[in-house]
Amino acid sequence: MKRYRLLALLVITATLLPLCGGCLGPTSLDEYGYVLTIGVDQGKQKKFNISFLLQKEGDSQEAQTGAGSYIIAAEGDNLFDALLIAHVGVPYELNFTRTNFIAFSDQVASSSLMNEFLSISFNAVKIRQSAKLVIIQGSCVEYMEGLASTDIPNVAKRQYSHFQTYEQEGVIPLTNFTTYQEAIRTGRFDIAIPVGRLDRSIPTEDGSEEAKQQGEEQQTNEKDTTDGVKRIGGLRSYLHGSALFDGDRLAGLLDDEDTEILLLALGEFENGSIRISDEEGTVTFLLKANGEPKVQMNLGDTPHAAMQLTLYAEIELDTAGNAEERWDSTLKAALEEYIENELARVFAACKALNSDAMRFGRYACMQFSSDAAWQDYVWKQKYKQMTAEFSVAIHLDYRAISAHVE
Amino acid sequence: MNLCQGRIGKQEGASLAGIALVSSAVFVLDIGETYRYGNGTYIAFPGAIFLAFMLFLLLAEAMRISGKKDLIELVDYAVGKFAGNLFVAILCALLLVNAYCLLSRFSTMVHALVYMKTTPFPVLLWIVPVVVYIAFRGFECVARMAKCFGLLLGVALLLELLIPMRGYEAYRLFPLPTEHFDAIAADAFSGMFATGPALLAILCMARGLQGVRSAKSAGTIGALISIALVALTQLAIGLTYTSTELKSIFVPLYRLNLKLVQESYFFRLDKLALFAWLIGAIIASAYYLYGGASLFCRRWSRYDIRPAVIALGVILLCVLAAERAWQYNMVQTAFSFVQRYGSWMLIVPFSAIAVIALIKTHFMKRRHMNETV
Repeated sequence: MKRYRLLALLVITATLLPLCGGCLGPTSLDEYGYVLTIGVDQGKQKKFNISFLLQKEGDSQEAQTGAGSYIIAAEGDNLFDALLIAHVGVPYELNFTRTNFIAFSDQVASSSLMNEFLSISFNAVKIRQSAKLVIIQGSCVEYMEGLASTDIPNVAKRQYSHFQTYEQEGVIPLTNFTTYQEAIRTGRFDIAIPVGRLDRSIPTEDGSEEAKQQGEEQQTNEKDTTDGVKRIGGLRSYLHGSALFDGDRLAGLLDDEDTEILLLALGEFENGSIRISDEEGTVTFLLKANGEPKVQMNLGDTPHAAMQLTLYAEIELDTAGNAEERWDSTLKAALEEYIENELARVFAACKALNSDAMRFGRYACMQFSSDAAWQDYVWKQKYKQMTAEFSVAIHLDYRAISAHVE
Repeated sequence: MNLCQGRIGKQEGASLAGIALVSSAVFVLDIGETYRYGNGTYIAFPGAIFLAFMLFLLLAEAMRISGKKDLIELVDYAVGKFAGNLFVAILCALLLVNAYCLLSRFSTMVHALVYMKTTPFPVLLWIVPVVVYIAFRGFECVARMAKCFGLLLGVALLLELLIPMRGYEAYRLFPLPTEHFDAIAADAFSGMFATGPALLAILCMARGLQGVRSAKSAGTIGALISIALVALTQLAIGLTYTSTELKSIFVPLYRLNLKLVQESYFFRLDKLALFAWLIGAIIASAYYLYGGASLFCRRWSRYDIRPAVIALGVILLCVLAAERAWQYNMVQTAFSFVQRYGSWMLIVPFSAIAVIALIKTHFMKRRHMNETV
């Protein structure tokens, strides 16, 4: 009897196992269109024009021959409306589990529309709340088109290169949706979001005569550059600088150098180059941050912050060839003073935009003994009168110099 | 009477107590209301386990001194069988309420976070029968499952806390609720309704744990480990989200990774973690269900425990289904009542029982000594 029972159990298990493995309802990868980026522009018929940058998986003909990425766009009053329309035209299901970026045009970000769009339930379409936010100068659809490249068919790979830009060059901040929500809900700080731009002098890759002609025409336009510098090759779209927010609205933009300074104050700076020129020559330093800055806040009607920052410097380029000798006598003080002045300037720029992008509110809230007292203080009102002083200590990395001398 | 109790050792008992305490404290107690004055949950929740542990030690000591073999015997010894019925009924009800709370929370989690395209009832049908089956197989089965998964679940939880470490920021713990220690203490006390039954059930099944001494050691190990794990978990949650955000976040533990900006697919383990916690919740619920059925059978039925387990399982399923279908407000009102008064119903009568038992034993020993002299 016991043997029969065991046999019956095995048969039942063997019958149920294929169910658990999905054998009865298999779904292959190419039945999904993986949305890697969502772009949100202002619509004409409806509130939003929502575009989806897709990476098609599987052995489809397009994946082998084409760029492997597609853009689908539809208008709608919210994401679900646009999805309804977009789904009609594709033979697969849009899947948002791999969505890494949500891009907003500067027009949408300057209004309440951005917050309205982000108030949807991310869970309903399985968008991960850690998706990064990007502000696009111009149109998101154009920006996405600028990302298409036959050389680099994998869009996800291109997206991960943004992390490298963040880590190795320090010219863009990274902000995800969860941090945006924290800033909006708690009012402790404001966010800085990377800015996506388009270099129209770079020709499109669709190869059509019209496009080539368009590219040639645009190469002559002096304004179409990569942050003011001529570039040949690469993608039309790039990330540079940051967009500062005042609450849920875009308040203004910072260029890449100002963004480096902002990241220094945030304690998010990893590496970045800085150049000092005087009558003896030009020295380019690679700066490395050493932990988070130390901030002392004095609260009152006019809050005052004292920020101390420690950095390490390596000499990357020395035209006079005597930077090491001049370090203690002139260069150290000059570099420290330069960064202190830059920090003060960027702080003033942030304050002028009423954006606590340096996140001094994080330190201010630590001086309260209850949540209610903090709420009553109304940080953003006090921030308008806030003053700050910055002191920077830079140590030369001699070990790097000795390794540098070949 | 067939209680399907069997015999288990200290490791099984400690794992069982640990899993039940961590599941209840982290998932049942963690609701928006606990963040109304700021975040003090990393003190309040371990505090709730600590208070339950104190009650557990008091009762275990009373059992040892009075020579009673389990909690029901102690209750009868202290207040008699008639009044004892009330106390056993309270504990039985609280065990079932805890099973309900855990299952309700987890079925909502699985439905809202994984299977959102289905209705909640199929999710319930997928979870509750497993719980009933494990409880049906008896105490030994529940405890051995707890031993199998205990260490694994503990390590998984610690990993879940370690992976998002780069996203932790100390400022999110501020403002510290230094002006609200009374509220933290009140939360710790009221949280006992979720932590107390797990430890008292160990004493009810002390015979299956090879006696009071062994049950006491198992409960102590389980309680101390769970205090550490719950404190670490709540601290990690506090370092990731501010109290303002936590007021409206459903299951913040599930969202610890989301603050990381440099996230990769390696960090996308939340769904795996959810299923690991679900295993813990299933074991804990089976333990509560078995505990409730065991108390019911020993007090009011002389027959097999298995029909009682099935009957209580069906009632549980009906309440869970009713909550999701049409009786949400009624079930929530009942839950609020237990949340508010559950700890009082637990600590006052059972502390009194321990004290009465100790006094009675003292006088009986004295009388016995006088008679001997």
